[in-house]
Amino acid sequence: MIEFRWADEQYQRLPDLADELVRLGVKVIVANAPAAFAAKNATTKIPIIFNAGFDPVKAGLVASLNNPGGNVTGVTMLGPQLGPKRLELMHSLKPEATQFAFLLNPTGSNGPTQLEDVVGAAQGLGLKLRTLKAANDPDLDQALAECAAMNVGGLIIAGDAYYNTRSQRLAELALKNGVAAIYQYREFVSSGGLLSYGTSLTDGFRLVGNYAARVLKGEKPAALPVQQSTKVELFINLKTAKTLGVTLPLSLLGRADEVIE
Amino acid sequence: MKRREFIRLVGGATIWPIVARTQSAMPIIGFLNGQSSVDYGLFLTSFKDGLKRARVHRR
Repeated sequence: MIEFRWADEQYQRLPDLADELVRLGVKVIVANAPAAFAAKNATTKIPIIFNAGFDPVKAGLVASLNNPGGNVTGVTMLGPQLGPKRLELMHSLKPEATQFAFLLNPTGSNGPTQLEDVVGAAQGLGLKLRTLKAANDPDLDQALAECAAMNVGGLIIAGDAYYNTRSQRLAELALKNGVAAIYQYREFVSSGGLLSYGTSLTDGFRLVGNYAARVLKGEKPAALPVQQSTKVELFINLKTAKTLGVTLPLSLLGRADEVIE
Repeated sequence: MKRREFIRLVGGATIWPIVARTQSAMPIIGFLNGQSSVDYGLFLTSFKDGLKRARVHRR
């Protein structure tokens, strides 16, 4: 049986919710990126399986990837680290553009790190980077409208736990505002977004389920290496490209794992 | 089938569901998430899929 505790984007509620699960005596806690820290603070005994887009060693969740050591292990997804690559992809579609925009969640776990990476990449390419911030649905509406007014070559959306649940909304807003945008998951492109480049989020959650089951069967999290989901996929929505008047280079189409028409 | 085997089988069949039900009523997995349940259908399906596949060889 699964006992759910949702913070509904109110991350300050996570410590209390984590304590509740500990009091209930659950045998394992499954936590996404913002929740993993609250879970770790709540217990040093109950095994915790996280999924995160950041480096869990740097973040202090585990001692090392191969030997997590404590009661915490999980799955890392190569996603947020790919910001520079997403900028390059977007730039290859609009080589004449001199500025691009980057959207990040100011309350997210790793927004600033991603911004640094993408700013560095933009400088390397001689491009100007405009920053947009959104932490909730009204913010998203406003950010995409602002982006449309900026006259940028395209929008790079930061990898973020909240944005992951807004793939469809982000895609619809980008399309509505005529913004060429790239995100990290296929769900964004299947909902009408132009491009996605990242590892599979659904595969990541399958790995988390696998680890939770193995821990329930008696394996120790300290001895379960952090799994790295590293198979990067590129998805393109051809219909959206036509709507936005974006010409897709054949080289890019050839590299795509799937072209959605 | 011998009578004793038959009784053991039927007896086992009636006791087991009760034991299983008692066990499953205990929350064993705590699912802690920063986001909201309404947006998580796709990811939950994948999570449960991973859980199920790893547990197929359970009794």
